Amino acid sequence: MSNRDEPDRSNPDDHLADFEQRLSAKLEKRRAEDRKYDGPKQSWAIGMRYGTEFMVGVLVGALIGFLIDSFFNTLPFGLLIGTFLGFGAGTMNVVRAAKELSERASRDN
Amino acid sequence: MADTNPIKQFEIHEVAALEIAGFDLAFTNSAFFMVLATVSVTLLMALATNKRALVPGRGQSIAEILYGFVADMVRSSAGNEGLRFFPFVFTLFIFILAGNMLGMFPYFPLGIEGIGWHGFTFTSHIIVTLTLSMMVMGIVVIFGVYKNGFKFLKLFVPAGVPPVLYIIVTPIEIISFLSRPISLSVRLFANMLAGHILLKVFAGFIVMLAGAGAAWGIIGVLPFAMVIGLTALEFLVAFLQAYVFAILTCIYLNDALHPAH
Repeated sequence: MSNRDEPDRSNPDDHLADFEQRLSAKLEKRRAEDRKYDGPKQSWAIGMRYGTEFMVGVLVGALIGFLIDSFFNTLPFGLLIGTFLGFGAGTMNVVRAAKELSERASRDN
Repeated sequence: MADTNPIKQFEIHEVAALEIAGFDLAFTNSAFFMVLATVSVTLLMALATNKRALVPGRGQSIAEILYGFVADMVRSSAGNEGLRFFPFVFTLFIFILAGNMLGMFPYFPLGIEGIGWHGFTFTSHIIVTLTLSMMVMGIVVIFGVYKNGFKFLKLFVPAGVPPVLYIIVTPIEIISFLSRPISLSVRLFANMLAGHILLKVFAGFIVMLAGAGAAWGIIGVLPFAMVIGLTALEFLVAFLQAYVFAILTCIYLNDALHPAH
């Protein structure tokens, strides 16, 4: 039993825990290495994503408000309410996108 | 002087006329590049995987890395259940990637009178990207309703909100949901359009400076350096936007699988 390469068969938990530990240490090192490379190019996409996410929310809200207006002939009000709600939707889109990204980042860590 | 119009690259030209029941369904250069993307990807994949070696060669490695890359993406965003959509996401990703990359190559033989050889990026047309994103949303809605029934509507009624606020929160959620296909398509389209226009504008400067005669041609080195840099950036954007489209598809499919968030 003095041989290090020989697994300790009498105590399987210990051997597995040791293996698990070595594996996670290796993986941790590898992930840290990976993170160095995917920093800058991701941020470009993230910025673009927040921008469109917000813009589109407002646009869709205003469009729906306008469509309701032209359907019921109530011109300014639907557009106003729609734009406000669209503003909310755009903000929520951004919050949701940020949450997703930070979740993914914390899962990678 | 050479044509330096930066918008000209997005023009649609008819290759072969086709009319069915009064609709103009002509085969255009856009369609040509879509067919080219599909055929080249299919051929590459078939060639790369036909050996099925235990120790992969170069081609097979690329195919396996691509497969693993997309499978990881689907699994991490939509869980193991999401893997049933793997073929869809993989096709979408590789189609957009091939389209973006083909757009980076400026000369393809296409026998149209007065045009001849030219390049074209079909992802720089919003109707193409909108169709792709509508396909995604169609699958999300149809599969979501098929799997969850009325529970799919929980998507619009988030838990943990005081009942009074539902008057505001539900319309916001609906607008947020409706904005998804648009943000998905606009992002891809805008990136490709802006990048290619920028590329063409700076390339146009070189031609203009060269045509101005005398010492002006020497200054043309500056926009030339810019074009080289932009080309590298465009290759990055071409990959990145295909990736973003695919990963957002996965995230939306996750909503169809598990609507209560």
